[in-house]
Amino acid sequence: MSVDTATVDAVERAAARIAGHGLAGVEAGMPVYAGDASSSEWAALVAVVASRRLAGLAVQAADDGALVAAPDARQQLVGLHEQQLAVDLELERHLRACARVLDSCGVEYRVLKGPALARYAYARPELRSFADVDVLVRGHQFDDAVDALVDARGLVRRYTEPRPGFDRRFGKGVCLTASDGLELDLHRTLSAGPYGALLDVDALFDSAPTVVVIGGRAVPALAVELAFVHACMHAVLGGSATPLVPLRDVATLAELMTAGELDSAARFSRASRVEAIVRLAVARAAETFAWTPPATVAARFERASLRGFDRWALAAYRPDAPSYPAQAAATFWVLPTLRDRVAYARALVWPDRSYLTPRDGSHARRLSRSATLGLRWRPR
Amino acid sequence: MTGDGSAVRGPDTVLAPARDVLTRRSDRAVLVCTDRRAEPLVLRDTALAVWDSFASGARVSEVVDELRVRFDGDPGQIAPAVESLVAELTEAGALEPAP
Repeated sequence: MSVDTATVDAVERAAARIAGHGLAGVEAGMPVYAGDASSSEWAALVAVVASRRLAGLAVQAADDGALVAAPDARQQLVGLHEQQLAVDLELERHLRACARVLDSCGVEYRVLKGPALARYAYARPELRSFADVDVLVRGHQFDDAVDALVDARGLVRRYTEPRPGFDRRFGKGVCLTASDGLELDLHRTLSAGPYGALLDVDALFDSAPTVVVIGGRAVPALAVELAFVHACMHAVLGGSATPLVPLRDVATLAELMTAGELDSAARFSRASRVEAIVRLAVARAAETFAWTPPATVAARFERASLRGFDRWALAAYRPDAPSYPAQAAATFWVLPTLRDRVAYARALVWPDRSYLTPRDGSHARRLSRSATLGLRWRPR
Repeated sequence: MTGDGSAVRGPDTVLAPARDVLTRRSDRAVLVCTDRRAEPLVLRDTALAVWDSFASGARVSEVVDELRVRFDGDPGQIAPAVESLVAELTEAGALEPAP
């Protein structure tokens, strides 16, 4: 079934209204009406709600009268919500098991995004579904964490690294997949590309964690203010053209932070050179949801303008263009030492065969491509 | 003790959700996830009523009585049905004797 452009636009607006539902800074407007359960508009909206994992907020919006849904349409949403909740639970179980492994081998970690935010930032966990589990570890414990999870849980690396030790030293992280298809993204930093490379990851562990209890187990998550900065980074740098859930996280956390936490968020974002990213994220959330951010949050970041570095670096994160090669090339230019740059370039320009073969096929082709990319992304 | 743990349960046993159980509530059900079952259990209608009763701390006999009153049911049918559900939930690791 094809859907016309006008319907697509209407559905996107409806999805944004749903994603922003319940925020204190959003005024109740006209209810969203997307047709009855047999209409193409409703089918298109359900498809978007499903793909963006918004069923919890959609059901809440319907209950609150913000989304007009006939009884059969509402039941469809409830059924979709139950499917998402089942996945959420299986992922929480997966996270808890991985947390046991990391605790048992002394790896310090922080849970990121959905599984943590669902438990402490949203009114109830049912409002925030997620697709996978994200855990951050320190670089010097990265390989230990990977080995422990592979050995104890039978997880498999989804992608090989260019050379042994690359992910631990330079990568954003690694995706580990369980036999049942559940994924755990083990992070070394919060973002790919130059912003992730510049981040002081150790500082993320300096703040006391927010502790969430998952199935009787206390699990450490990022402190609230750091989760806010991460949400902003994910919303702007994560590669999605319309990141409704990350933007909702930005707004939710902005409304949750205390004055002290806001101060910490500002200090961390300034030290990590992501102030402009935070301002962009807050502005995009405001535009997407017709949301008024807390005055203190707006005031703190409104003067963070884009510098030349930001204009250059952000070009590597465009959602409409293949971004990994660009981010990899841009990262080269922000690495702090010559030694880092040599090691980084050597791994990417002349990787192991297992990495090279499915990508460029030959060292010569890769060498040529790498040189072109590196020069194109040289800062001006 | 029998394989299904029934020797540790009687009508006066107070049961509660297991301390390590993971749950979510939808509009019409509670989903219950444990380490012993691959997929979450989905409890609706009377099963949901049973779960909610145990979640607030109830004896098995009290749950049977509550259901009999709420659903105007035949005690001869309700008690075995509750016992069967309790056995399933206990076997799945979702319910355990209250501390």
